[in-house]
Amino acid sequence: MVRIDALVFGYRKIKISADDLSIVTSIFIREGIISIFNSDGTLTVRERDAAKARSFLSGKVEFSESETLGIYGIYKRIEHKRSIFAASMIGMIFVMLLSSVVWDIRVDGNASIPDSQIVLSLSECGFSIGDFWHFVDRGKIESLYLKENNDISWININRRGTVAYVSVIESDQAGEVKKESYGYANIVAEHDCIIDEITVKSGTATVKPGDVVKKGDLLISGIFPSESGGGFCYAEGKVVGKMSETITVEVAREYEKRTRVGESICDVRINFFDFSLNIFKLYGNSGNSCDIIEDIKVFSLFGERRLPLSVSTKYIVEYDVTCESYTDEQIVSIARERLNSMMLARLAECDLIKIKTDGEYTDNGYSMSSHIVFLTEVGCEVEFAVE
Amino acid sequence: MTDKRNIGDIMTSAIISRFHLEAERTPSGVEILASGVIGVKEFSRESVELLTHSGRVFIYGKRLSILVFENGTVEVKGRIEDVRFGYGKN
Repeated sequence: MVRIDALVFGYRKIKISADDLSIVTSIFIREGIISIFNSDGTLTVRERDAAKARSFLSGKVEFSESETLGIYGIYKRIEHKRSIFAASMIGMIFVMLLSSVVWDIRVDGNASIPDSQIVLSLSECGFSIGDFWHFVDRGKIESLYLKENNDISWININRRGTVAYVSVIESDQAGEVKKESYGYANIVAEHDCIIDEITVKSGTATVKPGDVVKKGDLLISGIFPSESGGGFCYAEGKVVGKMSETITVEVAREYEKRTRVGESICDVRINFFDFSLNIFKLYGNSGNSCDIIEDIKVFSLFGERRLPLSVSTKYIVEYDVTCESYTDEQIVSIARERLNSMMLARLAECDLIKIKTDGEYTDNGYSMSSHIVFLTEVGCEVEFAVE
Repeated sequence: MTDKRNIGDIMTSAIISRFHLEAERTPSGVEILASGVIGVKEFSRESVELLTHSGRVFIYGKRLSILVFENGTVEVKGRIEDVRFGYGKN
């Protein structure tokens, strides 16, 4: 067991006889020499007290002394390589300091709020890349974030090494909050349809399967009939109706074809934390149509830890624009792809019963349409008040 | 036989440290910090006898070690089991 100051600034081990322990201990107590005594007769003395200890022990007891131990001892022994040793120590201190800095912030749990927005909000609350972990009060930052932002209902900042892992729960995701129904409501039809299925949780059904309803018609009433005692409630239930719709896509035969002509670098920056150094910039306008593409190269250690260093390069990509025409096969294929994507989006929460697709060439290009029949929920709640 | 040295050259503290004892539990046993210690009468692996101006402190246990600080402060570490006090000037 060695004290930390002795380990750093050097110490010596002195060996004496176990019989002389009490005498030597008393001498060191009287003279105020800081030391550690073990019952086997070894004592540890700081390097700067070694000469004083030696002077008190000489002539009184028999003892043997070791060379200087500890980091200072190593430094003394490496006579010709001190610069390497000093550089190693400086490097270690540098690494220790850098490992106590926040190098990256990673967000998880967010669905609709982008990572960049959460990171920006955290920096406004006093937590950003480049901060020292020692000075970060995570609890205070979490409380301040929740106070300043209503879109997050829970946030937690965890530290793993030099990376901050921020877990969030958005307000929408915080469990479906059952509507506090202090009032009353009916369920009415959202679309014209034929009722296919009706399930009532509360309220009174006013339609049955097979009925044709128009938009706005009452499906489940929140008013109980007087024959059954009367009263009001917040109508709840599921009403499924059969609907039909036509989805049309038109594709023009003529289109603009962009041919890439060339690419040139217009801006290069080196980013370190929030500091950006612009090392190259090209001024002037491009004669052709162009896109500006920014490519950000990020560096990481062993593929895991992202360094706070990145190089962003902007390219000007020039295009030549020419008018071209689709062939018959191409235009039909494009129309089919677009129609399929529109139908996938429309039928995401529906059950398709029947589909009939037609297409025809027009003066401008091609038109394709699908007539679909499908089942979907058609009820929507409409609240009412009772005086 | 008296010592003929010039006593004025010896730097001595005019204030004699008062005796004070603190004990703290550690993972390896107990640490006892004693102030006002003027010497050690006995030191072995199982027992330590500290001398103060007005008495003695007997510490018994296992694997005992002593840390000496300045101003007569001594720390005894190890698996301390028994502490007794003795009286009488030293």
